[in-house]
Amino acid sequence: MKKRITLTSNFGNNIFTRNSISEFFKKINFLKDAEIILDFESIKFISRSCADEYLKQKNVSKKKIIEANMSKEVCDMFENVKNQYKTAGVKISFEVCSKQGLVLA
Amino acid sequence: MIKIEFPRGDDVFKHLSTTLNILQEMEKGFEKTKKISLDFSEVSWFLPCSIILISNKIREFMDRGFTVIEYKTPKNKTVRSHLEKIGFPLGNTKDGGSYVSIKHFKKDVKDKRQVNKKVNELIDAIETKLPCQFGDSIKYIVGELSDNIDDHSEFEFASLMAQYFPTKEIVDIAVFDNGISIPKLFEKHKIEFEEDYDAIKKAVWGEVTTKQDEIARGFGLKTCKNLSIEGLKGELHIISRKGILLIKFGKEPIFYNLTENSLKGTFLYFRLKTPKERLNIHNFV
Repeated sequence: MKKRITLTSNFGNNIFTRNSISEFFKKINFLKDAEIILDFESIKFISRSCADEYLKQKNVSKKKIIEANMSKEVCDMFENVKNQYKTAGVKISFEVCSKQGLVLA
Repeated sequence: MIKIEFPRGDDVFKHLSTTLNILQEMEKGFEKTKKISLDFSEVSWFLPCSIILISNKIREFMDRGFTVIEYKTPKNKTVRSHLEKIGFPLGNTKDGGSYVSIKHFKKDVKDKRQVNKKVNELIDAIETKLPCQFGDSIKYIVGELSDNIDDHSEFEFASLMAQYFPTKEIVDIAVFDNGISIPKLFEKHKIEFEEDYDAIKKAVWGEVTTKQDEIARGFGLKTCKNLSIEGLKGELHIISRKGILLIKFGKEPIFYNLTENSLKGTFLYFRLKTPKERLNIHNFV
């Protein structure tokens, strides 16, 4: 079963706090659906901290999470975190793609 | 009644020093008389940094159960009117064309998304008042700071305020939480430092993180510093407990400890210049 969730209804137009991300993942991890599409439509900005938290939560979630409609600004922030991960030696490896979302390696 | 007088001019540091003395007097006065009495009658100039700190202190007193305030308004009509507009003394939900009035919020321990909601409201309000050259820089700074407050500060009250000065082409942003302060947080996590200003320095230069079990943490304040100082050629003032840090574009940072005063919580004040062209934040963070 697939479920589509619009992020603006959970966060507003901008995602600023790690707590809001972790709460959100707690919620979706409880869902029955195995596959969840997270729709970034109208999300104008995600902070660097939240992009980091998002990736860490996605990495440990048992759900198949697919991102949709990520803006260039949002993709750029994930790219930024990807570079920081390389420097810091974080083992989460992923590709940022506006069409397929964040593809974990 | 405490006579309020601020220095003339725009020197943020002078205004903050005066304000810390006022806060101390307020605290002493409140302990003695359980009254808040402020005489603003001679005030002819102020900066947002002073007003937000005094306003937050009043909210804190009110939260301790006190409801009566004696407040003598400024004789100067323009100052009086502007103070009213920005919501002094108790905050305001309405904003003006070039400012976001004082916003206080009390921590709701049940709502983990509270700070995210409040900062979204603030950003929605600020965005319309700033030139587009700022790009996502203000969102980045306010976002990282609010995440720090949410994640680490254990605050009861947080306060935010912003003002754009169109003729000077600068924006002032003030963020204050009355939480445990950076030095106290470090003590709690057994992170060593010598003086309170040393703790601030370690936090701002990203030398340590309180989440040592997680990697890629401790970038927040460091990247805010890079963006505001290098990207926006601005200045950043931080006061946390007794420590003070002042960083200005093109100048050596200044660190020191307050000798007589101490601030309960952490105060950050940014003064940022409007870039000539739209700023790409990723060049600085």
